[in-house]
Amino acid sequence: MKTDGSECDHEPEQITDPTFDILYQKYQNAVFSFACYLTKNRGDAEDLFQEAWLRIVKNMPEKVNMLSIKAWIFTIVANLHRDGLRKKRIRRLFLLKKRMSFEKENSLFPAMPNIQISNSSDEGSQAEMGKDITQALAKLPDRQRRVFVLKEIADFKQAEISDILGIPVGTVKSMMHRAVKQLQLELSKYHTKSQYKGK
Amino acid sequence: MSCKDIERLIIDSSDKDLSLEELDVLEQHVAFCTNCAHFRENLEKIRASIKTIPQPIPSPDLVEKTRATCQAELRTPNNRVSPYDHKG
Repeated sequence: MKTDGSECDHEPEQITDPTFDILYQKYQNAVFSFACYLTKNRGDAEDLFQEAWLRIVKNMPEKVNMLSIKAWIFTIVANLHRDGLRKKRIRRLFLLKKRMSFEKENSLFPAMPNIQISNSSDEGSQAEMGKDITQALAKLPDRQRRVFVLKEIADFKQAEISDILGIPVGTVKSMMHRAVKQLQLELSKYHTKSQYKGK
Repeated sequence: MSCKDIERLIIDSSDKDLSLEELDVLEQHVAFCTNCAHFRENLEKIRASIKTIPQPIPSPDLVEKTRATCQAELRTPNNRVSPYDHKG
């Protein structure tokens, strides 16, 4: 951050908020990734990303507790998405439901990089499984996907997810269990001994 | 404990807050129940694979545009309404 303006006299001084800069730098990718998993659409994820950061800035506490701030940021993203979904549901009562193809949903995830596929067949199949996981995740009901992504991708504990989503821990656990069962069913071809018969 | 309870414990165990008693019950059950052993094994496979998924990242344009909007908002006086203000 430039402070004295000595390098260029004509450039207006840009006062930047150091706390915001730190948070933005640290969490911008995590917030965007979470937004993509929630919306399953890059355009909607970009809107959610911008809206979320603006709300974060408007409500940012004077003293930031770095231990709890991640959960607070994710709460804002989850709430904005939930509110948006409610509005969408109301609109759907009057409009024809448009079914989005899974190919389109997956286009927001970058192609699996070739470097991931090494000589090890284990790593190759793991990368392939990763690809199928994104498809399987897209098929999960919104509430289950939200819980699963917060737990397994954003690395929150179930008690923290309960706070973020404002639902009881028991509900988080139940949704997490259903999500894992469903994913295991979808990915049964990777299991050595498949015996999942659904719920 | 039923297999469903054990499956939930398997998921809970990654939060690292199971009691010693729960861990003991879990390990004893998994040692004899193939279904739960497979459930755990397959969950671990899913977790390992998730780490190989390249996560979507925002475009540089979006990052800069959002940063500029937020910094402009921060320069607006009295824009912050802290959620902790009510604590005094």
